[in-house]
Amino acid sequence: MKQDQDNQSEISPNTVIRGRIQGSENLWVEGRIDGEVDLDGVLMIQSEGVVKADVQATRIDIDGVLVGDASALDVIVLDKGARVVGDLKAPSIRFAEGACFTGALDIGDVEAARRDSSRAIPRARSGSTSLPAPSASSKVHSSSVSHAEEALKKTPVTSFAPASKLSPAEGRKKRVVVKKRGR
Amino acid sequence: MTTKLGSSLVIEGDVLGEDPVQVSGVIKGRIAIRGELTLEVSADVEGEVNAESLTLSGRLQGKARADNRLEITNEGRMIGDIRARRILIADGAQFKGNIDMN
Repeated sequence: MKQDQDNQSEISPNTVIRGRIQGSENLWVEGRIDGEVDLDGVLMIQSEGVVKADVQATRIDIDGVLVGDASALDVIVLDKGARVVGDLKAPSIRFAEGACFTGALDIGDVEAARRDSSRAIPRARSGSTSLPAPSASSKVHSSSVSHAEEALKKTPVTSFAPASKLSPAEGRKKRVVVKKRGR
Repeated sequence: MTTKLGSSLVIEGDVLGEDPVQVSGVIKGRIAIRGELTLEVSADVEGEVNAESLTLSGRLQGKARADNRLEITNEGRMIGDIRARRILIADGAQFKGNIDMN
């Protein structure tokens, strides 16, 4: 995998770079970087490599430690030795078994997804609102209505509505009850 | 193991370590290593440099200190003071600064 090319940089295990690294070539890290990396090429963090930086590259391969956010134009790969704390963003992100990761992921062409969703909004809305929303709302509705109906039945229907239909004696009785309640 | 910093790299910061370092790109900052430092023809370093030995073929602006040997090749250009036990400045090299060999 490792090739001796002109357009390739290596940071050896006993080297530390503190600061900002920018360039347009592949970078193999077996040492340590503290700072920021902005690369137009492949960033490979080898198993001994420790990178404490926000990194940007065309492709990022991690088999070591990365503490910081990573963003790739192509793909981010977490190999089995990867230990990553940070947010990852790329059109494609791959995890090998054994990779450790804590953070947020942003995978795929979000803009394309947005375009698709905006194109599909009329259908998606009618579909989503006509299917789950009405069923949910009808459930809520029916349950709330039934609750309300029960409440209505319990209070005024029994106390007042029948009062007019009741015989005068019963009506008087009812009125007395109401007065007692008033006191 | 050698650290190789390619010609497209621009580093704003320090390079520290114990391995040999070979620079072809731009560094603005300090280089302090316990090993051989090679600044290639395309290298452009602005800052203090400290190494076991130094070979300069590119451009260096700043103090340079080598524990052992310092060489400026015929393509090297340097502005700054040198401190090293053994110093070699080739025919054609450009240099402006003080030399301390003590």
